[in-house]
Amino acid sequence: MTLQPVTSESHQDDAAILHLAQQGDVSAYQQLYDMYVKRVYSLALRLTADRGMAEDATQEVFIQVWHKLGNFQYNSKFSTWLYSVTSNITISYMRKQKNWLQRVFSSEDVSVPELSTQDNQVTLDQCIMRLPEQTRVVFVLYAIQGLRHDDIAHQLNIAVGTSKAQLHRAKQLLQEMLDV
Amino acid sequence: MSKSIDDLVKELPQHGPQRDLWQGIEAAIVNDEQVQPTHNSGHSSWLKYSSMAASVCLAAILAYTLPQLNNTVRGKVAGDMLAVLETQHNKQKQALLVSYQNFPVAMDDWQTQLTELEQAADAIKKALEEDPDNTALLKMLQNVYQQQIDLIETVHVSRWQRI
Repeated sequence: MTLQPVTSESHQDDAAILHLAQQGDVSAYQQLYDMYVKRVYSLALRLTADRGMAEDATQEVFIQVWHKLGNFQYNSKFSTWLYSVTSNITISYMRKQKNWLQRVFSSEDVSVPELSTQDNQVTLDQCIMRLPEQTRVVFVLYAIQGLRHDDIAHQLNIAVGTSKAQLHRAKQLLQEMLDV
Repeated sequence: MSKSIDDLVKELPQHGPQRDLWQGIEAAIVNDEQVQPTHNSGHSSWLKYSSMAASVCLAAILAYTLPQLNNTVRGKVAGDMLAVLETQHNKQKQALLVSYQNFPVAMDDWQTQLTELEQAADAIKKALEEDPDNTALLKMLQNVYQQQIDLIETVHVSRWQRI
């Protein structure tokens, strides 16, 4: 996920829109939605590897964030808080789906979604979505979202060592896929 | 190769959802605000007709927005809007019954018919508990509610007009 540079001016605009949304202004909240929907959806898509689930999770994120906006205290960047909420809600959403536990705890499960290629080049995104679920989730949270292993372990209810092992496995698998 | 994966991560593009998610989000957050309790207690023809219009609008909103929501949200929105529909209907029905209480009636068994319609509504509500986002059931419930209102008005207005 490519993060956009944040200028002080845009930061002030964001803060003003955020403040209005916190006051219950739905149109301001829609502006926040427009600003962040792609980044939230991209994160949800990489976590779930499923467009439909990513769309559902994104919708749920923005509904829950509306109710949680009052809890945002400006101690961190809004985007950091939003992505944290997104990963929590998306993973929680994935857990609710049928057979999720089976998929996560089955070490050799690989449900490969059909992905289109451009110019016969395999992209990193396509490879990420081919990773086994727990391997993929750890990779996305660590390598893309920048979470620490102990945070990931806590969020996924796994050991820190498992998180590290899954990251190692993810990089190996991605290397193999990208070399093809 | 690990480094090159890290480099590729920095170049990952953003993707957008294929369907419009905002309409469902807006419906959910606006609906939550509508479900807050109100303090209206009086009755007026304005209230009567605005309640009827609101009921029709709610049913239309339900039919339009529910398919756009995810399963978790859909159930909650359907439940909340059903509660709004029921509250508005009960207010309207009670207001009508109070306003017509001293009027003569055209049919002796109108209360039996009203009870049957209320039982029909209860049966539909029970079915909706099992299948909260079934728009056909919601429309059926709205129709039964409207029949109750029509019955109350008809039995009283007919006699009034005859007199």
